[in-house]
Amino acid sequence: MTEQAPTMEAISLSKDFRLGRGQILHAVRDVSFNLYSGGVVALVGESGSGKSTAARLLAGQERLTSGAIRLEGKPVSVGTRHAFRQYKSQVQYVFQDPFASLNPVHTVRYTLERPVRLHQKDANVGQELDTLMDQVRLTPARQFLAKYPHELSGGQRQRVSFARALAARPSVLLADEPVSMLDVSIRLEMLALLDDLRKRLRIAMLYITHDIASARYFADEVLVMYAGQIVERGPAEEVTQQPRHPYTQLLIASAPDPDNLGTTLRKGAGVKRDKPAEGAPGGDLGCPFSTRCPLADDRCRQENPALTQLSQTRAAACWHLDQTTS
Amino acid sequence: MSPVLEITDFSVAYRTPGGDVRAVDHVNLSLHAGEVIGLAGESGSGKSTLAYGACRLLRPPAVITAGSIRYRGRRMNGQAGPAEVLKMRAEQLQRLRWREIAIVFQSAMNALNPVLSVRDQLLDVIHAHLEITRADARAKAASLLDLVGIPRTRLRSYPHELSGGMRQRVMIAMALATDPEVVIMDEPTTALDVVVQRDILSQIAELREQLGFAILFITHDLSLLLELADRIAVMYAGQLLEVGTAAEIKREPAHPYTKGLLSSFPSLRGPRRDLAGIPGSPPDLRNLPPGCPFMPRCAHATEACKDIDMGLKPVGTSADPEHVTACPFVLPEVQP
Repeated sequence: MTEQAPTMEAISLSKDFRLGRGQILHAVRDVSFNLYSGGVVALVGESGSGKSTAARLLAGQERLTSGAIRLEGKPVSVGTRHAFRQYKSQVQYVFQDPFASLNPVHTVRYTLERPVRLHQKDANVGQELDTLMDQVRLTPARQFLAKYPHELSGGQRQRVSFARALAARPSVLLADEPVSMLDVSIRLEMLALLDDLRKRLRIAMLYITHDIASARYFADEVLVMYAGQIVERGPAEEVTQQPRHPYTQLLIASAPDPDNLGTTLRKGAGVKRDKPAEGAPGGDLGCPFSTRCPLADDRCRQENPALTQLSQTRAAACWHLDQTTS
Repeated sequence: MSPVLEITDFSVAYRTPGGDVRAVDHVNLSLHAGEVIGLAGESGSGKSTLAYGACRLLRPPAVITAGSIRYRGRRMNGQAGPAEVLKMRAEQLQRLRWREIAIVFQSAMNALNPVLSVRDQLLDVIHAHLEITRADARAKAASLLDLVGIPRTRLRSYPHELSGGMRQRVMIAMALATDPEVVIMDEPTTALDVVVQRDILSQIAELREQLGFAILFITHDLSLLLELADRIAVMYAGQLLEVGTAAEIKREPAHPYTKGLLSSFPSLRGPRRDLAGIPGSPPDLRNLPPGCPFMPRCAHATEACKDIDMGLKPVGTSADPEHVTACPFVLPEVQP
């Protein structure tokens, strides 16, 4: 990591949801990370791992149960409408589904004009729209501005949602599975566009995904989440090439491998099929992955391991790190 | 060996006020007994329309405009030749569907009936398609769950009590209830996590080995097919652009679109590769250019592409009838 000050700091974020009957779901537990200007941090995990909840906490859309968020060194408060709006002009969110996140009855122009007027009081709106359309490469701008969402392809719609997020000139972009609803052939182009935007506009980006392979190519740092906790973190190339946590290892072993023509599928990954014991009473005891982990022993079932620093940039939460080197 | 399912010159159009949308355009594809064919294509490429069309499951405004679908199952030995699906009467179709060709639908989340227990849904299928006693049917329902690795106690569960992976397994159990010859799987693992996805795929591979059915596996994820399928058919804008064995598609992709797809997914293993992707976006079927539909996105496109014959031809100079492509201009490059 670079020696610059972080744009955004997430400090020990936790979020509990009450489920009724006294049950509590620990959706996010003690999650900390920093986002740097021009850098990408990937939050990788399966559905239900808490990665979207973590992003919603950062976006100010959920109240923290405990923990703190700092933006450019200052503690964040979104208590009042005014404070929330100010925060929003610096931290923007891109949703997963461009088919659902754009209002079908508004033109692209209307969708983009509103955030521009809201967040940049004295901007020349027309000029600003042209700049935005140019940034997301929807040209000719005039032609696209007049269109409705249904007249656009999936990729074009997602470009519009990028432009909408950029309209506030944010310093932080939270991208929640921005390409997973798109066709394979255009995903790469969209990631390249995001990559270009964060470099050119020096945006700090959180990239949420279930596809760890895309994180390898697109992110600087990878955080692997399981049942609300970060179980492994480190530079993208290191985490994907030498994973240390058994869950990361399973995740990588499970990804389709085009170099394995019809060979490995029949062997199975050798992992039990239990779901994580999240939400169950006493679920805070023990390692959440212990119900599926091939290395689990009594200690794993009783004590939840904390993140252990493996090097200056890497950490993993497992009692058996001595056994997990490949 | 003659194929179990032979799709010849098959075309489907959607009738719209603005004219016909040709969703499937003169497709030829054969499925052999016990084989896994992967049908790869992006959304709107016509891959689901092709598969459902082959069982005549399409509703208006979809119309089958040309072609023939010949089915030849092992239970149809009494007949002289293969049966023509497009000429079947309603009761013949009813015997064909599920009994001979079963479908595992996309999004198991919605394909199961939320107010019926797993047992009742299984019994429903069994009684509709097999003539067996109630007791036998119940025993069969239980053994079907064994087959897909779900504990029998789950027979009483309702869909909302099952995880996504389990629901998908129930869907597979239902499809296998009648011991079909062909199983069509329409993106069966798309909504699942990679770990569960791998679990289910290895289960599918295992069951295929055990029961010997053929699979038409529809997906947009080519990387998954390279591992699972015996042969792969690449579809784009309603047409097949390339068909070959998984190894051929991986090592010597012949069509520029296939090459683009192969360089579109980031790899996890080995050194970082340069990723190219495919510029542009999938075509609008209402407004296709003449000639090759991939031409606007193709780096090798020339004037000649505007009036090429899109029929599948053997790749390169080798007369290997297994590996065919619609592009006559680009020679395969052997991948490292």
